Amino acid sequence: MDQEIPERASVLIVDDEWLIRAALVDHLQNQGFEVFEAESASEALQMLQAHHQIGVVVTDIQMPGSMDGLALARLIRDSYPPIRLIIASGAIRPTEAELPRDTVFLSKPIDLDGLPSLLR
Amino acid sequence: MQRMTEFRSSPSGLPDSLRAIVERETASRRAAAEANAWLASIVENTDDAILSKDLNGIITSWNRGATRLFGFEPEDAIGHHITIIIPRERWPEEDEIIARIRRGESVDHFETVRQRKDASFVDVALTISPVRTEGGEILGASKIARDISSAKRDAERQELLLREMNHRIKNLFAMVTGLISLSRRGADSADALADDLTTRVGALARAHDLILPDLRADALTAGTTTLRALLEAVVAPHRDVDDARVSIDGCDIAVGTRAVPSLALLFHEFATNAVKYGALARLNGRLTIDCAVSDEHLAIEWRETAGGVSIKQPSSEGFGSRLERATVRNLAGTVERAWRKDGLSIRLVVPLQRLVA
Repeated sequence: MDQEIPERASVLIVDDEWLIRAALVDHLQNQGFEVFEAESASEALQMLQAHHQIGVVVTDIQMPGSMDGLALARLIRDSYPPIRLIIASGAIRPTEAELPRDTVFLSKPIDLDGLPSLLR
Repeated sequence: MQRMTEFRSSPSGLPDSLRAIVERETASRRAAAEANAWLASIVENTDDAILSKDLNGIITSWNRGATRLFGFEPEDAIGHHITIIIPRERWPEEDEIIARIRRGESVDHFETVRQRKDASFVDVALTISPVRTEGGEILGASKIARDISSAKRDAERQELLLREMNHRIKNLFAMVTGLISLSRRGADSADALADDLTTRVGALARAHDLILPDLRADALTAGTTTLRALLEAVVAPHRDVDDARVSIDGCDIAVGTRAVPSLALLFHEFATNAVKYGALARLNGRLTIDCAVSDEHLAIEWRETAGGVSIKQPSSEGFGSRLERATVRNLAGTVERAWRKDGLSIRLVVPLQRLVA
């Protein structure tokens, strides 16, 4: 499912902790990004289907539900190859082999000041 | 005969030395019998099930504790195979136990499951030892079975409690991290940031107290509280006891663990603004909170009057507004403000489905 990614892509934040999500959404909106949010992998997939302008996904790893952030990222890499992927976790450090190709891993808490440059 | 006439005789007719031997033997047998009776009494009256079996697995003795634990009377058990108390899928355990007994080994504190006469299962700890003749030949085994159902339940409960606490601590850290990140932008000063964060974390702590799991309940259930209890807890630091300026009316509904922190922070923002700029900033101010449920939604009307003085509308959006927006979004709700001459009215509407989660 190829899609054109605009220069300043819309961002989807996937995290089950609403205040963590809120902080990221607030910070990125203040930087001028259009931001969507989802509290689970399944909700994230619905968002991706509904909002084709999403060009970057920032996802936590540990989330409730049948799919964790790593599985979500692999699915996105297969189904939406152009989307830039950022995986974040404070508890798990995945190996290179576990990460889908062209994925950036960030340790939590995420450095908010450094995040926008990764999204552009 | 001659020699016998030389023995001094007792009234019983036995020579004294022989009588002494007989008496010692009799005393020894009596002592042994008493010791056996004593031992039998202990075995019979202990809470543990004590039984014995031969090397073919046939039960040869069965105490009262065994009857209590397994439900079989001695006559139902003695002479029958030990598998009457072993669930079928665990029969291989018995082969292993008998093999070890034949090798002269004991089995110490083996935790397993056994079956009662009524087919129900019971968690037991088994201690099994070989029974030998005086010559050392192994005749069978003695088995002590202790009911550990209660201990296992306690251990499972403890594990569940630890998991729940671990989960909540992680959530709290995540919430506090989020609060700090969210507060970072637009803080006027480090002191102001610290003060705001302190009161917000305090509101979360009071909300957390309301949803502690009930440790006395049989099953550890997620804590719930009610809307009114939550409102009271959030408003409490901002008013005196019997403060007539505040009234909370209308319906009361249960609020689940996940919704409580969001609501607590939201009400805290409302209350903090009321203290800084609104009803609770003045002695003659008034705050009324009305709750109503309709069409699967909760509607809260938060009305403030400031004793005839208008409540000033903030000129710019602060952290409180951003937190409020994030909170309302998390609850899938809506919030509307109406600034009137005589005060402020806030209407919060939240789907009930989000509140019970």
